Formats: sequence, C-alpha cells, structure tokens
Amino acid sequence: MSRENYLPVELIKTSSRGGVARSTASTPEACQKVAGGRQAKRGRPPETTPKDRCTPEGCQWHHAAESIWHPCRDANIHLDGNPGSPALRLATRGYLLARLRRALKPGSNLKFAILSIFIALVSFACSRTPKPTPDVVVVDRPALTLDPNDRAWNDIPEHVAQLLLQDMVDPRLMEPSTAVVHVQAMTDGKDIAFRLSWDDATMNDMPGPAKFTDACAVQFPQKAAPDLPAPQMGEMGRQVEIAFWRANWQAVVDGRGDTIKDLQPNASVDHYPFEAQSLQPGSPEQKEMQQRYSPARATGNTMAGPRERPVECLIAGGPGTLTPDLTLQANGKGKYEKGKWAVVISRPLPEVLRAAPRSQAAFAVWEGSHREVGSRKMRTGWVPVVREQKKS
Amino acid sequence: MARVNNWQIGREMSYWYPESRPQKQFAAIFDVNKCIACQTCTLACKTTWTSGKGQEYMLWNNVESKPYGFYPLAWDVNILSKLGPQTWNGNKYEGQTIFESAPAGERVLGWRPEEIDYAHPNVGEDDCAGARIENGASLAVPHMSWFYYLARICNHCTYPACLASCPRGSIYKRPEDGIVLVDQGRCRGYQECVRACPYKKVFYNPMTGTSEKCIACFPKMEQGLQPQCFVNCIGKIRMAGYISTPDKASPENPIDYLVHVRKVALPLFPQFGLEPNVYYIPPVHAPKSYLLQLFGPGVFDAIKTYESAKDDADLAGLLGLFGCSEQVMPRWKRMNDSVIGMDESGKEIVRVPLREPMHVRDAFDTKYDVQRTNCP
Repeated sequence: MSRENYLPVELIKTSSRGGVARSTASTPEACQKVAGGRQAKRGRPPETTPKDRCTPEGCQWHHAAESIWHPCRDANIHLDGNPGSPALRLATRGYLLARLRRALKPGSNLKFAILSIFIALVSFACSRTPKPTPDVVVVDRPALTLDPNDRAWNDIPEHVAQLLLQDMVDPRLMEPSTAVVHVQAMTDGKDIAFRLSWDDATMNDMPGPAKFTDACAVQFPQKAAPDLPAPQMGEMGRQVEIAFWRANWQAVVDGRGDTIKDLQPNASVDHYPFEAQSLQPGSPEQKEMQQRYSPARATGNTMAGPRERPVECLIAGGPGTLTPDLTLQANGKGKYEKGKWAVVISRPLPEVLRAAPRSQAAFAVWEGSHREVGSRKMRTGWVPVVREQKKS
Repeated sequence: MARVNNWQIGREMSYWYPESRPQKQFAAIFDVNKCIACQTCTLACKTTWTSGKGQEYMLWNNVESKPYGFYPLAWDVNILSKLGPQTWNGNKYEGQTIFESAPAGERVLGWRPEEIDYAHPNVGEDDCAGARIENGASLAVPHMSWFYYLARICNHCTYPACLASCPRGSIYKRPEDGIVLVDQGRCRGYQECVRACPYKKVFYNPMTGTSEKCIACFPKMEQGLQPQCFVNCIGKIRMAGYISTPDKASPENPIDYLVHVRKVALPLFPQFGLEPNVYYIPPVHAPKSYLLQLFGPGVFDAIKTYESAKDDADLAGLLGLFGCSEQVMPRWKRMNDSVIGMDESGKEIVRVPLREPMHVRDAFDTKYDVQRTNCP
C-alpha cells in the first residue's frame, strides 16, 4: 500500500463526472468537504450534520466530527440490503394473480382455479420477508437452532444495523468495508441465538501471514445499569460480554485438518521431532513433546485450537482488555453462500436481558480480504434489543 | 505518545509508552566481516525452537547475502522507502523515526509481508553489487564489486515497535534482562507486531493463531549461557552480554567496550528509532552511502578503528574472545599476551592467547619419507 493512502487528510478528488473519488478525512473542515461532496453527488444540498439513519448511539460515539463521513450517511442505499428480492417477489405475485384471474373466468376449470388459489396462498406465505425493525426483536421459541438456513428464522423480524468504522482507537480502520449487518434473534429463555448476515464478495477462512479471516461478534453490557458502558469494548469496571465467531474456526469445526498441508496443500515437511519413529503416535510422551513445540497450545490459549466450537465468549473492560470468559459457553455456525455470510451465534441469555425485557447490544463484522482484524473492524453503536412480550 | 531518550539517534523521540529501561539489557555484537553464511546459527535456532507445526517457514535467526538478500523479501528496502530520505546532523538524527511518522490510525509506520515474501530465503541472492565489467570494472584491490553476509536475530530493542503496536499488550520487555517476548497465552494473532517490526522478526504461526519471535534463548541466558545461535557459530562472529547506557558504560564490560568506548560496533538502522540491541561491526568493503544508511554516521570511524585492530592489542584481544566459551562473559581484561573472559565476580571463565602460536613445518617429512600436504 502506498504511503499516500495513509495521509491524514485527503482532499476531495473530483472525478470527471463530478463524483467524489475518495472519502477518508480526519479534520472537521476536510470532513465537511467530503460530506458535502457526497451528498451533492446524490443531488441533495450539502448538510453539516447527519440527520438520522444512524442510531443515536452510533453518531454520538462518532463525536470526532459530526461531519465525518461514515457508512450511516449512505444508509438509504443499503437499507433494504437485498434490493433484488422485492422486485422478484412482486413479479412472482403478479404472475400468479394473472393465472388466478384467468382461472376464475367463466368456463374455466374449477379444480384448476382452486389449485391456483392454493398455490397463490402458499407462495404469499413463503415469500413473506419480515420488515426491518428499528430494534432487534428477540422472539421466544421453544427450541433454538444453530443452522442459519433453518426455516425457523424465516418469520423472525430482522433489524438492519448500520456499521461504522472503528476509527476511535489505534490501530484504526480508515476505509469502510461492510455497510450493514442484518440481525435476527430468538431465545428459549435460557440461551439467546442471533443470526447475523451480511454481503461479502470474498470468503476468507484461511489463516496465514498477512491473511485474515471473516468474523463477526455480538456484544452486551455485562450488568444492567441506567447508563451504558462505551460501545467500544466497554470500560474499566463496566465490562461487556462478547460472543465472537471466526470463519477459520468454522472451517476447523467443519472438518479442516490440523496440519500445515490443510493450510498449504503444497507444503512438504521433512520431519517434526515429535513424530520421530521412537515415539509411539498418540502416546502421552508423544503428545507432551508435541505440546512443547506449540507454546500457545501449551499455555492453554483459546486461540490456538484445535477447536470444537466456532464461537468464543469473551469479556472486555475497554480496548485492549479482551479476555476469554471460560464461564460462558457459546456455540454457532456460519455458512457462506452466494456472496453472503449467514452466521448463528448462540450464547447464554445475558443478565441484562434476564433482568429486563429491553437492553442494548452491539455488533461487529470483520472483512478478511480488507485485512480487518482486532480493532480494525466495522462495528455498530449500541442497538436496542427487545424481548418480544408473550401473548397472554 | 511519550517522549523518550534514544542515545543511538542523539535525541529525544516519541514512543507509545514512557521510557522504562530494564535493570539489564540483553545485547549482542556480530562481527559481519567474519561471517561466512554457513547458516549453522540458523539451523541451531531452527532445531531448538521452531520445529513445530506452523513454524515451518519461520527463521528467528537468518543470514542473508546483502545487498540483494532479504528474509522476508525486501524487508529493509520496503520500510526505507516508506520512511523516505531522512537526514543526520552529525550524530544527531534530524529525520523522523517510524514512530514519529506513523500515519493517522496507526501506532507505527509499518507494512505487512505477504506469505510469498517468506517463501524463498537465500534463493538467488548471491550476486555482487558495484561495478560491472561492461562498465569498466577490472581486477583491483579492494574489489570494485561487493557483497557480504548479514546475520540477523531479534534486536530486543529498547523501544520495540512490536510491543508498541500490540493493541492488547501481549508483548512485553522483561525488566530483568530487556528480552522482548510475545505472551503466547495472551496473543490473539492480530499480526500488528508483524506489520510494525521494521526488521520483520516477528512471525505469525497459522497453526496456533499467535505470533512468535526470537526469545534470545532466555532459559540459557538465565543460567549465564549464551544463546544457541551464538555458541554454534563456527566463525565465532558473535558475543552475547548486556549493554549499559552510554553514561554508565564500563570498559570492563566487553559489549560496553566495543559499543561505547571504542564505538566499533553499531546498531542496524538506528534511524528507525527502536534503539536495537544487536550491534554490528560493519563490513569494511561496502560503499559509503550504503554503510551510512545501514549503520548511521558512526560507521566510518568504526571501520577505521576495526582496521587498526591488528596494531591494537586490546581490541584484537577482545575480538579473539568471541565464541570461546558458552558462558556469558560480563567482564574481560587483557594481561600481556592473554585475554581473559570473567564472570561478574571477576572469576576467570576462559583465557585465550592474543595470537595463536604458529608452527611452520617443512614440506617434506624426512622421518616418514613422505610429502606433507595441507589437504585434510
């Protein structure tokens, strides 16, 4: 990457068509120019304050300058998240209605008319996509599913959370990537399962030097309190609980082996000392020796694998304090299909949602191909999470 | 950012953490002129520390042929070009360090080597730089063309970029000896350290998801023994010990004597601002501008001093002590024609003659009626 990409203030570069070529800026003046330029591109008068579509928390934490451009600004172009689907649904319905009208004409086959009505009703039911909701609505279900493709998710309301740059704490992410994450949630009263989905043109689940993997996370305040901890990893004394899913862990859980050849198919290794002929494979001596050549595993680092679950529970009291929380068990499953990740993260129902039906959660997505890792991520502010009231 | 003192660049500089020097600082001296690139050091390290899964590509110690050898590819020229041309004013560095030139959103000016950049250590690098025959080069002494071998380990810097860049404090500098370590229990493999270290001496282990680096064989150093790459060096180019700051330099300490008193050993790329603690006796035959870029403005005096060692009993004697014992020798002295390496209390560890006795034998052995040869 050239050094120019890191210039703290990048003046607006206007393309021949008058559009804004780049959008990073870090002084209020420059940001105003950028913000103005972006809005001008869309034919609206320049504004100096963002209005709206970002959550209040998100914008508040974006204090650096209200005029800094961030993905919330472009909310109107991402909100639906799946622009093709409504048109397709309408087309399908139109076709079926036309068939129905023809069938109900005098002289038509009555059986066919009834069949058409039935098909139309079924198609309406199946094509029903929940409308995006302003909050994450947690729906009560007798049992939870870890499968992101399970039909149980079909009628769960979806919240479309705008993702912001993590540009508060060094090292920061300076160029936006994933714009929105779609969030659904269900609970059985004991655990809570989230389904996060987002558009991702590249599937990254291979670790390596300068290689990073796709990931996502859900964060809750640890304790119920009138005011919330900072959405950016919490604060000292006001911790947050995080459930974190990674694509490379998912690959291991799904069966990728624990050898260098699984990561580098063309690798050839002459010899590992712990695989010497004198050592019985799998014997305690052999295992102990193998451990000695893998210090991260020897120390019990939860990162070091091999893993049985693709999700890890963590606790944090401010940036840089992330620590595995071994008292909480999380699980989940991620699937990548047709340019989209869909990931279910299940964890014990947090205390804040046991204490009250309403709390807040924050979400984050890491785009591996954009070299997002650790604090370099797209994240939300606090988003309201509401347990659906049981109908009596 | 805090303000800290960096004696290698003759000024204060900005660093992520305040100055906190260890009680002792691990340091080493490598005499580049004696290295033959046999890679025994590399293998000594490899077999001791990096034979595990995910460590296959790692060389905590490596030797590369300069100027065209790199591991990983272009490690030095990449960061030099990112930093851009900078200036020294005498012994004071007036340019920017990699901490001071960190772009917005970063703690350190850095770059990430790709996987392929680690793929071909030592392959195709043994080419000379300098004059070419078609440009009028001819056989002359000293040679118009040049190359040399640069042995490298982690510099256990006073101001490590890896440590500064780790967003979760997984890298620490031991207060007892200044050795820089990655906490394998805490690291989460963000690779920020790999990106930040200008010497590219931190490596990501894809099997454990953590980053690993040279540990200066601390289990040996704790017992007063020099690291594996030092004691296995057949060219005896290396000496490990502890260095003081210039104001506390002791001529009895071999590292202090060579670095501070005689100023014959110099840090590699002092302008990066890390205060690295592996000191090099520079190659005597490389071009001036190149040497200046690598070792800073003290390099010409250092070479002059080194070339005078043949007439300097103390300097030649101490250089003769390199590689003569596995033990760390915190003190030394010369007694007439002998040089003595000692422990902290002054107890003798090893004694070597200033000059090895030379025996000249006749080409023909009359006793056995046989011609002597020098072949083994």
